[in-house]
Amino acid sequence: MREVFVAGIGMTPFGRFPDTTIEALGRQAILAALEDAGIGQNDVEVAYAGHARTGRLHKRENGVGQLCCWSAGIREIPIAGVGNFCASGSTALRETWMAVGSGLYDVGLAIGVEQLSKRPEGGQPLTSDGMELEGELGFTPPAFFALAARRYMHTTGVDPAVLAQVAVKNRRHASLNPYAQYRSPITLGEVLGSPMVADPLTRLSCCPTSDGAAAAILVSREAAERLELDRLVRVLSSSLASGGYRGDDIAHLDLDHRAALAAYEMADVGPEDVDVAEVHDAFTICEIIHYEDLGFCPMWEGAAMVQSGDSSLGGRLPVSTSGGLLSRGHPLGATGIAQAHEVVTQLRGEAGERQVEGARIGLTHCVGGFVTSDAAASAVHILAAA
Amino acid sequence: MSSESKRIDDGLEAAPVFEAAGPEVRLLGSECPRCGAVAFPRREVCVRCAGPHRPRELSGAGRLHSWTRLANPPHGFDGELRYGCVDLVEGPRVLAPVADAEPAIGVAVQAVPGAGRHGADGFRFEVRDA
Ligand SMILES: [Zn+2]
Repeated sequence: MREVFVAGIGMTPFGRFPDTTIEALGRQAILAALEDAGIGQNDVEVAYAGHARTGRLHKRENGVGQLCCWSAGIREIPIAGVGNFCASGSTALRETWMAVGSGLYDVGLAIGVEQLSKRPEGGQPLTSDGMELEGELGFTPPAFFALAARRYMHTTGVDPAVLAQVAVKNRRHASLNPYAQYRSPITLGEVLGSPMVADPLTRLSCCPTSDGAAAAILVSREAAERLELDRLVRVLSSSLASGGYRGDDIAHLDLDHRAALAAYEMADVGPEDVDVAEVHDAFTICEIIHYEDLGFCPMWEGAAMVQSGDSSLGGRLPVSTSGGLLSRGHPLGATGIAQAHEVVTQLRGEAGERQVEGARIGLTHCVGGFVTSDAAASAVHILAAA
Repeated sequence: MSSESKRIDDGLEAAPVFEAAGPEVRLLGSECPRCGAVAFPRREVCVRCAGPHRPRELSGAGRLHSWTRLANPPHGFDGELRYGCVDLVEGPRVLAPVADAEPAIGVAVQAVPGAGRHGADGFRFEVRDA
């Protein structure tokens, strides 16, 4: 693989926008990314679009990439949709990285888009592909992570108030991010006192229903020079893993551990080198588990990272500086690219009040879906200031 | 339970995944003669060694790995639902409802008849004193 750089990023604010369309959301993100890169529609040679629920909710299982690109004035080029649960956007980013890194294309566009606020079962937790039989017995994604949370509490003795600190921290970060869905600070009492969803996870311990889109332009060094692009961020590595189906302790996700190891190895860095990270904090417990599976701290010691402030802005390794899925929002297919948007912003030194001083290396992590009681897909990207 | 009523595995699995055995439920899984891996539901190819599986009836006995209480259960379920993660004595992990309030993690459980979505015939786990 040759070197690949992120040359432009763009996203819509995340929130509930039931009166807009996936086309309008996608167009807005693409146009913002093109403008940020300083290139035109005709410079884009290939595009991949991540989306997870447009089939079920918008009767559009295929063609979201073509729709959004057409809407933004991009035609004729190869375009493909990428569905990979919550990691759909990350996987679209990875496909684009492979397309440019392979040498086949010089300028690629990764898009992620989702509009969940229109779903008919509003207010109910999302269902999950891959758990149909379990679903007939009552399974929901919050149930899985509630099982993980109780197991984690049982093993470590940590109580729900510690888990809730993740939601408070990420909301504090989101208050500094203009793209975030929820920006008003919340207290520990509010998180713990919000309605129970799946014990011990309350409503404010779970990510919200979100709409939004994000896009990134990836280029080769040759294209960057030819098009005179600046503010480049280098993609050091990209990894994707699927479940091992071994029935490990439910409080850890082995595929995340494997995806992280692969990404560190390819990037030739270790977790101690990471300055800023966006992880898949779909539920408060997830962020703590991810600290451990991604190697940010020893196993079963993740709670201490949030308690000590290590993972807060100003701490040793700020995590979810955007506000994370919990507060920036989680429009499934858009999330992985929104994570890259935040990390690129940080590595360029353009994050304003939420800037991590001197950030040189950043990591994004998305995990999604279930197959037979294991998680299905995990993607990790490591980026570096160029 | 009548044989005419709807089952949770209707249209989802090639073969039934459970059958009643008096007051208990047996889970219909498979095993790998080559590496000894046991699976539930039944499968054709071993995910550990890629060898062929053969059907095996599982006792439905296991240990509770974790549990939760769904305050807002999905469509087709009434009221609060307690949901568990059980490791069967034969090995496979099963996610299914649990009958008991506040069960202890690690406690012995047994699959028994229980209701799925819209009251379909299914199974749940019950704590056993043992
Ligand atoms: Zn085998």
